[in-house]
Amino acid sequence: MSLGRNLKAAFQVVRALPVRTLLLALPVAASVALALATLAIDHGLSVKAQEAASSFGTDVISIRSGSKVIAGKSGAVANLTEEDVNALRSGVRGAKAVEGTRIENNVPTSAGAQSGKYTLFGVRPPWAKVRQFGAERGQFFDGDELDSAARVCVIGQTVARELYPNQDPIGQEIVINQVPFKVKGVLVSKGASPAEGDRDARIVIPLTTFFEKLYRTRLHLDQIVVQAKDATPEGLAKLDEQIATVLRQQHRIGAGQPDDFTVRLPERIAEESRGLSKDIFYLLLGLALVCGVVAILVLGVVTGQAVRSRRGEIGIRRALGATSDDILLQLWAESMVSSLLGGLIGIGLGIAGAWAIAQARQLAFGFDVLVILVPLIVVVLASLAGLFPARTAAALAPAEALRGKAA
Amino acid sequence: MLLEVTDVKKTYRDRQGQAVPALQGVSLGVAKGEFVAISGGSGCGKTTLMNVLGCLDSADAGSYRFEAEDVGSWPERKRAELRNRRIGFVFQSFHLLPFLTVRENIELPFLYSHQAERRSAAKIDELLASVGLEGMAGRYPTELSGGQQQRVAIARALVMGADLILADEPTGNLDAAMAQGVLDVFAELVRQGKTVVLVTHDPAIAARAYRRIQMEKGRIVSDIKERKEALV
Repeated sequence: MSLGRNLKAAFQVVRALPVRTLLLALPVAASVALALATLAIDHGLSVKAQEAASSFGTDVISIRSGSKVIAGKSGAVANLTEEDVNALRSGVRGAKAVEGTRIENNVPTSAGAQSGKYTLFGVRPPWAKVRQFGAERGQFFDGDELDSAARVCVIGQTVARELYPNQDPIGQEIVINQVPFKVKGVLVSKGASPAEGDRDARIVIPLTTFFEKLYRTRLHLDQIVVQAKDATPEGLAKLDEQIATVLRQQHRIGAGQPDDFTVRLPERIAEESRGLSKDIFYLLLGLALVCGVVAILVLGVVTGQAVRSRRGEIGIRRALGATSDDILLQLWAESMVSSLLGGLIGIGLGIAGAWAIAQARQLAFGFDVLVILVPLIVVVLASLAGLFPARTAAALAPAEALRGKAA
Repeated sequence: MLLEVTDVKKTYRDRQGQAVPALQGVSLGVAKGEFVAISGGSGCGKTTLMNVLGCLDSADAGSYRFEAEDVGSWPERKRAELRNRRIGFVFQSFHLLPFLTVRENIELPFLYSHQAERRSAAKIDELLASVGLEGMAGRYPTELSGGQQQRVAIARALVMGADLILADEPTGNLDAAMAQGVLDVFAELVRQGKTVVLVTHDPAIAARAYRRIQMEKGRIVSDIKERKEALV
């Protein structure tokens, strides 16, 4: 027996039956394409989610008021306070920094003839460092301006583009909720995220100014960000626990009562930014698996039928000098050709599909190295599936095989 | 002796599991260059005997020597090699592979050969010419008449240089004129020194051979040799 000659025999059969070969190849192709596309898209989404998480800060834990937080909106209950921030600063040892933020959405803003509605952030200067959200041009406001509740602001790039289409915004006047401010700088660009919306449509002002000059009656905070000293998953989990303990004490929440705040770890932020849930991902992979099983069964059944209907051919090949191993190898090579063809079509379709979706959704296009194992496993299993029925036929005495139908 | 079977027995089981004795102690020697016809009624064991001679099946008892080698006890791999190199088969239903051309069908035995033979297109053409099928190498079997298909099968049986041609009802699917044409090819092969054993139920076909063996119920009942010259 030799692989070469039986491959040749297999190719002669495959060449004679192109439609059958293609039909056998299709389930393999579907399975491989689906698996590859799913894995590639998941890869793209993970990259995007990682980017989202790292642009938020991989060492930053976010606390929002209310037990359930809808992405991008502040909590329904306004119950985070400056006292909470102070308690966290003194009570949480794993925190490098704790910064409270007041957020107001859809704040009417204008500059000259231009106007728009933007998200207004009231923060202290260290916030820029924690969130890695400093000024790209001009300057962030400083401690003196915070203390004096100065009417200064730093604006996002969307704001700069919309309100100052043809001029440098730095030093210009901007009217926020009918109060005039001076633009000190333009923030670095962070782009859009599913969790936070367009992060460049923001205006950041001193927290003191927010309370004293703009919203005097609503003195709560909307978000507290805690920067971890230890950003490992264990460190973050420990920090999460400490934060919960301190805040439950601050808010006088008894044992067994639910939290009235929500703590989000960086991985949670990444998860929210994925856009494709892990459930759907596993569902698609499951579907690919089902396709793979179908492919393997179809190849097994078809080879089984071929073995019965081709007894005459098997008999004459044996009479002409083929051993039973030769017959086995030929039948295996035939199903190998079909499944290889399917694998190649599947790789092509899968990569093309993933690339198209990556383009449309602006995702990074790439694969895990292990992805090449998928078509390999399907092809090998599918081709082996044909072997079990082939064994019986190959083991027949040539005389018995020849007694079957004519070739 | 080219081949010699001694007291060969073979029993089949039918669908009901009943034992059907096909050969009940057959002894036979065939010398090189003989033209032998084995005939008898349906179920007399003639095809079974041919299968044993061709190493397509093994006997339950008795011995089979091919050129004094005890091929009956050989492993399948060596028996396959013997079929490939020394024995050519011709069957009633031709057994050509319909998806291969005439040339590819004739070349099939090379696929299973252990020696690295040079199969030249010229040799195949020569072979085709010798069986009266010049220029048919590129055709498919379905484009040929029954007689032509059987000649392709004979060319395939000869391509490896077999010394023994085993033919099981080679004319069974052919009309009288085509049958005579195929028998003429066999007679010519014998004249060239090949050994031909053909199995047939038809006394008129058997009459073309120089040695006629009659079988009944798994046994040889008569064995008549004639002079070669009288029959060519």
